[in-house]
Amino acid sequence: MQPTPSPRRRLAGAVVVACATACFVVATAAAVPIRGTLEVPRDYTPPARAENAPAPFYWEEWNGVLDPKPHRLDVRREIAVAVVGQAEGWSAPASVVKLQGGGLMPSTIVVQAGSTLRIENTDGCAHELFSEGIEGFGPLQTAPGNARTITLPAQAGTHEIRDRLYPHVLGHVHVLPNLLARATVGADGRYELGDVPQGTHTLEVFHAARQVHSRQVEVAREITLDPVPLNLAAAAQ
Amino acid sequence: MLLSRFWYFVLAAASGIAFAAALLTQAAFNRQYDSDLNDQLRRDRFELELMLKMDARSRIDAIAPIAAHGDVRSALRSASRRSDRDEVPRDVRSGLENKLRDLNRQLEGMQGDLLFAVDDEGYVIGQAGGSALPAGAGLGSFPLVERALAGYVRDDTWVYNGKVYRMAARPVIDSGQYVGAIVHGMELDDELARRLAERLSGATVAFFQQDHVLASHMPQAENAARAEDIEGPLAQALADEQLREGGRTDPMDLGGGSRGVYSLVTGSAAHAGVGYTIARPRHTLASVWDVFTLITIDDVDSLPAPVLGGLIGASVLLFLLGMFFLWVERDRPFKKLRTATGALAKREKDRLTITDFGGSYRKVAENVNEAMDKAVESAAASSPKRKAADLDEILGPTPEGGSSSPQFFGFADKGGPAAEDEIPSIPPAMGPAGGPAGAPKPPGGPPPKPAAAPAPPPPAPSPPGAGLGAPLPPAAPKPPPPGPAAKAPVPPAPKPPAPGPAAPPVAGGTPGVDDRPDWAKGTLLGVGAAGATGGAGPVQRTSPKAPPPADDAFDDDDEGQTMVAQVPRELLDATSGEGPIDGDELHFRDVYEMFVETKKKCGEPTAGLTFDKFVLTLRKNRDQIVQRHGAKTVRFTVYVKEGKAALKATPVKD
Repeated sequence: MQPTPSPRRRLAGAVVVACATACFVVATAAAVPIRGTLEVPRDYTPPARAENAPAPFYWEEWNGVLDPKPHRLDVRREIAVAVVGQAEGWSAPASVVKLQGGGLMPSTIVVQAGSTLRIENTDGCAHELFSEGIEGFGPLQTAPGNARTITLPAQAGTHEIRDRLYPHVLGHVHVLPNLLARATVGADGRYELGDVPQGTHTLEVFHAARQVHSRQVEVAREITLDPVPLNLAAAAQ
Repeated sequence: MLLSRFWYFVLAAASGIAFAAALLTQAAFNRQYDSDLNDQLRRDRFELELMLKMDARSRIDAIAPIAAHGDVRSALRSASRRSDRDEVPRDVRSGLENKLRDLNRQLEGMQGDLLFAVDDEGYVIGQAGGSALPAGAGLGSFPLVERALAGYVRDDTWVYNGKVYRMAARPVIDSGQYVGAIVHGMELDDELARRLAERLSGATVAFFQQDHVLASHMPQAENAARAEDIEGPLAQALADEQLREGGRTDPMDLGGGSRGVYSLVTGSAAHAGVGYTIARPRHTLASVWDVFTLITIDDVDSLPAPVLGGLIGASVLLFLLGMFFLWVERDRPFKKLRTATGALAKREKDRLTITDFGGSYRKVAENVNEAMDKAVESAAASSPKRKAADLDEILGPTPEGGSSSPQFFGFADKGGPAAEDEIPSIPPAMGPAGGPAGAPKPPGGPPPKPAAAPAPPPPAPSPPGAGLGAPLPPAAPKPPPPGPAAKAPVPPAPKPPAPGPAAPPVAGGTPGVDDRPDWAKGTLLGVGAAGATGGAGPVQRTSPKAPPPADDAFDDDDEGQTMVAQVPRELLDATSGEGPIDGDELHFRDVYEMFVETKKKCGEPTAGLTFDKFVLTLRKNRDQIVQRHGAKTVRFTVYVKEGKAALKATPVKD
């Protein structure tokens, strides 16, 4: 038989709950969404294969019937938008990446330093991802339908993720110390950062291993940023 | 021997060159073989790449009917228009998969182990073969599929769920737009390795991933590389810089005595360490003799007849030339030396004529002669009997009367008391110590040897005047011969023309018991034999005129039978009238005549035995003995030795 809590204890518990609720309400009331658009260049072509590199095929020919499709940047996969800044008691949600269609989705990943990264394999084939710069991220097989969680380093930096079985699988992990929020970019370049704490922060845009755009934003209320033109070629240089 | 030595040098040089050439040929052969093998392996790899390329083309073309099939296009068109890409209508999926299986079966030899139909974003709408995919699975990020969705036909290699596939993809076009793609895969298996290996006669083809072989085919050939042989060096090959950068290694040695080249496959599977190996057995010469195992009868037949005949003819010619050189420089002079030494052994010669020989054989002849001379000198020097100072001590005193009894030469038995009576005493003037030889030795002096004691008297009284050198009476009675020599009638001895007392025939002796040695009993002609037996034994005649011996019959070198004694005074007196030379000449004449006579009795040929030649020999031996023993002169006696006439020299001391 459990002892019944005394009225004094009940009062103390009620006070704690009330304070926590108050803090949450205050914090939520201080976080606002940020929306914006990325102007993606339409003539972007990925880096060509090195001249002396052996071709990974015997034959690659146009079908002869219908003009081939031009290469389009997969913004959803390759572009990442994040807001970094100082905010007491604020932390970005955990990161989840999928192996989808034979590759990482997204392949440009922004994560909080010292947090974890969960990789889910939704493909029909196994993968063996690894990163040489992240300790404990060896080439272990992830079978279809399985997932693996990686603890990221506490230091800021950018790391490559590769697959031992498939050379086309390539991801870049940007470990940021003061990550406040990250956005999901649509195929049309629109993005939305759900809840960003009020204050002056930095909006950063990443493509693969590079940061291609950065600007300060004053977050006081829900805002829609001006379109951000991305010059990927210039950034690459 | 110059020619022979030169010939041996040529042979040694030729054999050395031949062996060196064989060793170098072995190394050169192996190097050339390895070079050819390396080239062969590179050609094999080139051919295999061509075959794989044609195989890829065939697969791309094989799936064209699938990509163009109306049901497939229709299904993919409808799938590409769906709003929720993660969900595929069940009827669309089932209908498409049935059609894919039918079409796949129609490919026969090109039937795929994997066959996917994907929509315009790469989501899998239907599949035939392979494990079932989860909902929403796609292939759009694979470059093969991505490029097919962009309108390209392409091939690739994949590692897909633990297996390696040769992939091909084609876009599916419907209503003027890309609605999807057909992705086709065939596994890398033993069948493919077999088909490829059959095109590369004698080569082993294997596919590997990392450190293990996936599939292989080994031909029915000796020392063909096995999968284990290929698997061994895989780690080394994968670490090879050339493989990682250029996609292939140089030919390298494998286990089991084979050699192979490693190459990565063309396609994305190379990233996972998938490649192939072409290996061939390596037939090298482990030794120079192994070349004979490679020679066939055709190789011999291919030699031109003149070359073959010339080779054999030259060999025979060189052999004969070598034999000729050997005969000229070794066999012929050796045979001459052998003949000469044989004659020396048979005493047909007393020395080798060195001018008959040349080169080393001359030196050998000189050495033989020198050795014989030294042996004689050594024997003479080591024999106490030949020491002049010991003559009297050895033989005892010379008889006063100068008796020429046979025992004077020591031929008689030394043990009999009767013999002792017959030994003449040595004249006092001839004693070795200056006193009478027969006088008692001074105290402390060496005791006289028993054999040298006063010479025993002859067994029977000798007639007056009998002595050394006395001719035998012509009509001496022939006693019944107790020995072979006694059977031969003794011819009448020629009378010596020179003055001097003729030695009476030695006669007398006891006809009964005769315990003397054989040589004293009758085989010795001259001293004492006939006289001692009273005509019953062999006749011995000792005379200054004894017949001269032939070269081979002269027995001066026989130490055991060369006797040293003193000459009776009457003999010296007889010979002193005309000087030693004249007396010797007369003695030589007598010895010659007796020697010829004895030879005839013994049945030996006497043709060519002239006195001039004979006397030269006697003079030479006389001079040598005189010089060696310090004697005044030498007396020769004839006797029979082993059925042949022989001579014995006796130095005359005084």
